[in-house]
Amino acid sequence: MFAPIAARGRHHRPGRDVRLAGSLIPVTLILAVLTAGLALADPGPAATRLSAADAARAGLAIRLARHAVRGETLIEVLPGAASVGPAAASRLLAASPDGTVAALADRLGEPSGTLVVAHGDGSQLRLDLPGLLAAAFTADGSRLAVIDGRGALWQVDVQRGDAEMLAAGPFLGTPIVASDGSILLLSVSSVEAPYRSRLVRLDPSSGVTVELATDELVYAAFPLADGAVAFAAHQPGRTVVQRIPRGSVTTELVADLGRGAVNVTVSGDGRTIAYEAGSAVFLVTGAGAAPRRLGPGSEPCLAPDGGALLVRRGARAVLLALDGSILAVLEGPARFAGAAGCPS
Amino acid sequence: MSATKRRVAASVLLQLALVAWGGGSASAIDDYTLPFYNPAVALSFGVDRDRTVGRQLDWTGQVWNDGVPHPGRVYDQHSGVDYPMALRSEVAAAKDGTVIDTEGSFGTSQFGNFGNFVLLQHSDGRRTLYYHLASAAEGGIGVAISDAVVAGQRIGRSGCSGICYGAHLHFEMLAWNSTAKAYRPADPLAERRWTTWPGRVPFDAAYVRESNSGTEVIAQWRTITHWVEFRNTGGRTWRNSSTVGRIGLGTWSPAAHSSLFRASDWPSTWIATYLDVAAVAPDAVGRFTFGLRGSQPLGSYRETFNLVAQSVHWFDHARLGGFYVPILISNLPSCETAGSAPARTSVTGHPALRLALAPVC
Repeated sequence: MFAPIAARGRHHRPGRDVRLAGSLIPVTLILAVLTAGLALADPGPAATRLSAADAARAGLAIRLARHAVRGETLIEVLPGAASVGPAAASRLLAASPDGTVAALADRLGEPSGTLVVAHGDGSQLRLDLPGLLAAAFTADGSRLAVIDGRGALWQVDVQRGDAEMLAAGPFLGTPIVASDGSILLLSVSSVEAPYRSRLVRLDPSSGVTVELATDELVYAAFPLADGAVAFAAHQPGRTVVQRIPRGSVTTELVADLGRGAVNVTVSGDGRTIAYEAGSAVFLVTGAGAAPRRLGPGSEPCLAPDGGALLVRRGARAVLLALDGSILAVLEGPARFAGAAGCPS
Repeated sequence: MSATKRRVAASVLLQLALVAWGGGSASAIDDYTLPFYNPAVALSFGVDRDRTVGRQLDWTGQVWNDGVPHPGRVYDQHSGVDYPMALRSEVAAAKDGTVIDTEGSFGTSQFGNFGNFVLLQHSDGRRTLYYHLASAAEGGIGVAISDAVVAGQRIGRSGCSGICYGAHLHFEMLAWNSTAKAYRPADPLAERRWTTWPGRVPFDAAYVRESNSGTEVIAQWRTITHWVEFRNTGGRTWRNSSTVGRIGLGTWSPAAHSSLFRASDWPSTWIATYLDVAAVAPDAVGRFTFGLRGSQPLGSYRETFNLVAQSVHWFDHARLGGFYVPILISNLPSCETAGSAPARTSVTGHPALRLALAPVC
């Protein structure tokens, strides 16, 4: 259902190869005209492709570092090398499951933004969108599901840069592309003030969305290894983590985190939960276990296997073991390869 | 022209345009007030009543097909009304209601997909949402779920939590849509929901005059009568019939202190009096009459007062002209004790211009 754009043939416009230091190379304009009349009426954004050398000459080079962390891969955008755009504090939106490609934004949420798909070889794809909020890779890493600043959902081919709007939304949160191509999203009342946020599954081929839970304010969702979906939801006076088993339409309560828990993250096996409360990070390991305070921090993100977590401390990302000990302090934006559901 | 001056000029022009367009309050529905207390706060963006991406219908009825933000009017797909204000500014309920949900766990300026809010249910079936509030730890959430609130009651403090670029209050009015079976944004500006165009804060007043704008000379152990009049420049009708929200004249500096000049007609140690009449609508003048007793040693004193919506909110004392009554306790017979009509000093205007004059009988 999350099919390659070329197979769908609408609302897309192939990217242009651009050589910054030299002349523009006209490439696929004719192809674009031939591809679809609709594309002329409603063209998608055009991507700019940069080689590693072009990026370096333009001062836009991005270097990615891959760290092995207890069996998982952590992607770090090396400081000093990252020049995603005018804003120095670029955001690392997502890392591909194999850790070779990263999606970054120059800024989040504003009326315009540049999505940068940075490859391990230094090449880049740059795509201007009407703002950026979140992105996630497909399981094979070939495409990105992107939510723009207005809450619309796009899919972007990470090699060609083809971009297509799939649904106007508005959606929030990090999308999750399921193995069957469907996309889990949070359908919100508005982008700016989402007092209502429903967990839905979108079938991109039909555009049909189905609500997965009755909760009115879902903060984040997480795919579990057994095919289930976990999600964190605000309920009046508390935050809960629930689970929808594969093939089921009913929800099961996993943990009641009580009042004050936000920015929840759940490991791929569903057994470990981390969250932020009162400027500190807490961890729950196992059903019914009491929360343990790991120390100060915000916006925790668990490794897919739940063996470590990234937290934000000031401007830095800190890698913690589950006992709260510091494994590493990272100067640049970092993210676990294949991590799903973590905030941008 | 500096950016600030341009903004001020634009704001002034906008306000003039609003007055011209609004044509007064005749057609206003008058059932909500602005959700804050500072009358200097101005609209930055209103609701986009056209849900088509790229096309905007602002609260004046103007259509914009450019999709770009228009300060003072609208930005594309905006579901609420934005009011820039300093972090931790007081936020008020726009109408009587019940708290049905709150979130206060995000940092006051924590950027993210979600932010802090209070959601109220009102008896007319509508809901109001107050978004981007400060964290609960910093007073962002001043109410609890199931609390009953009255119009103008402080319910929280502003912040910049969630998707926010500069501290502001996002106020959203929600109306039930029976077709969609869901609440949908309504536009309080286009519907003229504010009491008086272009909208007023719930409680505000302007000093008009008083019985004696000079020094009250009170013979020791005697009582004199004083009255003061204020114009209701706020958005809510002043009343004296109910307990909560009843408009009274209370002691100030410090607030609600026990007065040394309390007369027997005072309802409490710190409430000198309530509104003299049953109701005073916006723009009308209300009088507050009370006694002052000279029960202190001989000498000069000052008693400071402020208006209060009882159990709801104090007025902005500075906007009342810093209202106070200079008092001289004398062992000489005062006019009243002498049985003749008091001849008052007649300094008019701002209370700060009072003259400390003894009565002439």
